[in-house]
Amino acid sequence: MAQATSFRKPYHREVTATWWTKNPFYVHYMLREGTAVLALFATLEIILGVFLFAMCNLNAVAAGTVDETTTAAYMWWATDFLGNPVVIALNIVTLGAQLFHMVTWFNLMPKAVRVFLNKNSTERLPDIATKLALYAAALGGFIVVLGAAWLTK
Amino acid sequence: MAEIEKKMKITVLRYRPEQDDKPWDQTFEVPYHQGTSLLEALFYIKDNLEHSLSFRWSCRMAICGSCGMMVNNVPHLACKTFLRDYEGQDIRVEPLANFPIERDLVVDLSDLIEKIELIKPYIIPSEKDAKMPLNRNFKQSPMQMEAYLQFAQCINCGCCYAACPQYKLNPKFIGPAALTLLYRYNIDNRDSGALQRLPFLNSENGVWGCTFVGYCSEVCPKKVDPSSAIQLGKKMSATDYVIKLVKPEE
Repeated sequence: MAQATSFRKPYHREVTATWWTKNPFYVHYMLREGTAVLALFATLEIILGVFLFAMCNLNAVAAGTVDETTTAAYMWWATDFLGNPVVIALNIVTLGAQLFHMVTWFNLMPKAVRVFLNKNSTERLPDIATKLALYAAALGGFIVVLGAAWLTK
Repeated sequence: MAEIEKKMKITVLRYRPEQDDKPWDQTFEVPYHQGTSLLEALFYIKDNLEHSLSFRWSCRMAICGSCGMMVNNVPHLACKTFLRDYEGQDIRVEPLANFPIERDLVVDLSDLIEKIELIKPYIIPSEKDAKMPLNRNFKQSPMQMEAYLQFAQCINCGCCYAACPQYKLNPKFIGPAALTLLYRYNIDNRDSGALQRLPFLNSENGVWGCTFVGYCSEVCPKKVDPSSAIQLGKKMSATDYVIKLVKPEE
């Protein structure tokens, strides 16, 4: 019997670094995930502030005197660094990015919730309930943070 | 036909393994009316313009899952895509993304099939049920059926794999359809095979390989919502992790 010849030559398409620019859905996804870079900036900024605050001689502050050699770095962070126009602009962009992330993330979350209303019904918890719960939690978080900021100002 | 025939330019990515080193474009002008599907347009091309054009099809009614392809960069079933929805535009047809091209619009789906096989997509009864006489049936309430029914609608067309950037970047990722079927069998009340499927669910290439892009659910022609099944699978996997922390297995 003659040997069968295979002409198979599967072609593998190349994956380019710009794959996500080809489709608006992927661009949206990359923007959502890209907000993580700004979240990293905000996190480092806060860690720096907390670290410099911890370096202050708080016993002296409590006693009514200021040990300027230890508080100078923190004061630089609180006034010069946070007051820098570039940092202010970056913080505003970061806030916008995190709000964008919040909205897009909350839009996806109902997919992770599949709850039936009761044992005898096939009716499912509506998506809006999941979203409202998440927005309520986010609002609670805002109130706690802003409240804490207002109380300690 | 009384209707005035309109024409549309359809560009097809061609690849003939015996003679081509890489794929190339071929453009056709195809007449169409209100009811012309892309699959019918491809029939027209094959019958009248280019006999050598290869593509897969069978049922023509979005049941068999054979005619998945990229239409203007979006995964679609050709039979469920109508030219009228692209009026005023040209259409560009390519084989399903993320799979090797075998010939023209035909891709090699072996990887998808192997992954579906891997996760044991069948009911594994408990020891007690395995001895059940054949003339007895499993009992399932409408509610128990509703729990998985949506995830059981998959026709293995591969559109979700073509939409998945994680699969594009890491072909070892078990992927949307297979992970959805895994979850579908794990939550079926007749099934007791969850433990056998956990290693696939928990693995780096299992549910945790998904970054919730969500495009699989967007393109799924059967509205299976794979990204939902995968997120629910993450919960299942996380629960299993916590249980193992508290109660380690021997």
